[in-house]
Amino acid sequence: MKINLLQAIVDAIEDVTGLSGALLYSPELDLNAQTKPFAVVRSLTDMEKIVTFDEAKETEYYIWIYAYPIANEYQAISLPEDIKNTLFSELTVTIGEEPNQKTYKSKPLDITVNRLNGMDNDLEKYGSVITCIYKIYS
Amino acid sequence: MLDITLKLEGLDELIEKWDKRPELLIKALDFVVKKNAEEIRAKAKARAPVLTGTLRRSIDKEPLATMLYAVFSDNVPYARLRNYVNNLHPETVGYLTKTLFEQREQFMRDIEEAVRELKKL
Repeated sequence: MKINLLQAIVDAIEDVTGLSGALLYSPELDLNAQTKPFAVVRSLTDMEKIVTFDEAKETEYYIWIYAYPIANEYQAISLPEDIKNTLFSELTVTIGEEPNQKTYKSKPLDITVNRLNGMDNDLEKYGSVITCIYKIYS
Repeated sequence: MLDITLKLEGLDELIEKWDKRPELLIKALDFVVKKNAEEIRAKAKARAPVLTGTLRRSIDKEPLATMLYAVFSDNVPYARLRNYVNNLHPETVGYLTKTLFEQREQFMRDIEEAVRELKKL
């Protein structure tokens, strides 16, 4: 369940023009080893605890997408906005495994973009974070 | 500065349905917003990463208008970054914004309870 929603977000983001790739967050992920520009999808909702279809639909998912653009390019400003715009589209999420697999749609209730450090001239250094609140529905 | 705001919307519709003492309703709902802002402030302080205590001490709240409160960290340049990135203390990530997210259900319950209690008057 955790992978399906996050993977749907990763798949959608990978279509953003100019992005070299999107990854799922893990504490072991070495950000310095990635080729910029890239994005990292992270859930702050503990999805491991959500085990039934009904729980999955009732939950609002609090998700961050870190956007790391190439430094000192206009893309540093445009990339987070492009990712944000892409995420406004509806995503298909599969839950469970065959033969009980079910397909749902998910949509963001809210998306905001924040610079990671809040300093104007350091935008390229740290990138941005896009905060999404997703809801799965039938 | 990193800040979040807690605002109650849809009040006009509620007042329309509330045919008696709208001032009392506004006062009660303002109290609910204030109470929830205080809970967010306290939880964010408890969750914030601590080295010197500057970040924790900087977290405060203030009223911006009736039923609108801000919880913020002021004059700490790394407050925003530490909300989103902290490799040393990953459990503190989201100390402010995640706390706001988690408070939403309690906020809704408090509003419903306030309206329910007012109806008894």
